[in-house]
Amino acid sequence: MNCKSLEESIALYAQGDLDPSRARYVELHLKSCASCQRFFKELEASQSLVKALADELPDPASFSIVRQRVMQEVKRRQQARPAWWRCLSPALAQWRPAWAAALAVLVAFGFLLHWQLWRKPAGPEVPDNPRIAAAPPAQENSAGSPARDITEPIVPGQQSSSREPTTRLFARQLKPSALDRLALPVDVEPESLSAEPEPEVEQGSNLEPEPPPPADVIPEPPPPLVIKLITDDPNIIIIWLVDQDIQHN
Amino acid sequence: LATAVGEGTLMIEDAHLGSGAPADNDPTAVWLKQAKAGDASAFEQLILLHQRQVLTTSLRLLGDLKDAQDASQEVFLRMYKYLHRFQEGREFPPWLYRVTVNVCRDAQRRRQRTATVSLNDLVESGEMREPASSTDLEAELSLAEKRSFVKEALKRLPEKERAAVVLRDIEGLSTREVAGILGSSEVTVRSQVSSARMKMKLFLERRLKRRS
Repeated sequence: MNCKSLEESIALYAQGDLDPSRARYVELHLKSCASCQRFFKELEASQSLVKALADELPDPASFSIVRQRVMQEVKRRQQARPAWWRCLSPALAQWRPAWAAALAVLVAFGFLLHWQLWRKPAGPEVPDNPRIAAAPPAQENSAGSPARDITEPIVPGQQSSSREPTTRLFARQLKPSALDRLALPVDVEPESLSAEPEPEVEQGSNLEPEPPPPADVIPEPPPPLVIKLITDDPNIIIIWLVDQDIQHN
Repeated sequence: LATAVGEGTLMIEDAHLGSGAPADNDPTAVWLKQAKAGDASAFEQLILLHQRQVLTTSLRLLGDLKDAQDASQEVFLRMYKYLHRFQEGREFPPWLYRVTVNVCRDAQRRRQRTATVSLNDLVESGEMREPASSTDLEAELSLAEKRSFVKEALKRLPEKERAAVVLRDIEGLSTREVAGILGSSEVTVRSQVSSARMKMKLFLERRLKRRS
């Protein structure tokens, strides 16, 4: 048997750190091996010296020096804190679960509010980039030529089929509320803006011609035709208002 | 409050290290709660309860009283800083041991006082292979000599072995507790402890031989 390999186990056995089966094995070996028995006794002697160190304590002054230094630093740190924090921190520490719950409720409420505010309303809305266009007057079209689909961008000097415009032209009939929403400094007569709004028109469809008014009723002038010129510069939008009543006459 | 202070002061010498949940009347738990709320005097009572544990462990790990005092100060300031993170219901002494071991390890690395030859080097060089005769060491040495030899032996141990043997053999913690404090397995702690015991035995025998 190699006693050298047992030294580690004997070192553990000396202080009761071995499991019972291994301890029994070491115990049996120690009874039969004088060399290992001597090693065990020497180890016990050195261990008693090590354990004796537990009785040695520093003098009481050493403890108080540390305590005083720590408390000085603690008080300095406490005074360095703002007064409001000194008042709040005990309450915060004492009611930490309550504060956490309150914060969670607040966050949930804020999220709900944010979601409600930013949700789009369900009603009809004028699109940001309207492509609804008013049908051009019939007399403006040359005979035999197909009417221009003015829902397509009109590019000066090019055919309407071109898709690389530098300036695009859109035309539509806007409701006064839509004009208000544009919030552009357009010099328009107030009367033209106060005209009755047109009936709702579905997107992408040309305007149907209005039925002729009864003879005994003075027809109200139609709302102005609004032509919106969108340039490459997003900050420049040209609004062109055309009085349709004058045009027809 | 006065009764609690008295009990706390009396318990300075024997701050309990047992395992399991702390009792309801545990003074540490009482002071801990108040210290967390910002009560400086409660924090001071916590220091009184645990200063023996912190300063003596630091002293055995560092081997120098002044260094141990500096380390203890750092331990208590860390305790103050991170007190709010300590979960109530857990045992306080193991947490404080862990902080102490970490602070001492940092201090050891900072000061780099490794001019002395380590026990590892002595063992590997063969200088310590010759065991002394089976003399009774306790009978041969005076108390002061014994302590100085043991301290010297501790100083020369590798960092991890020293921490393991200080906590297991001097502080009297179980292998499981030591493993928890050092963040290692029980098998590793047993290996470190047995290695440290054998090295210290050889060192003490060598010292005795030299003295005689």
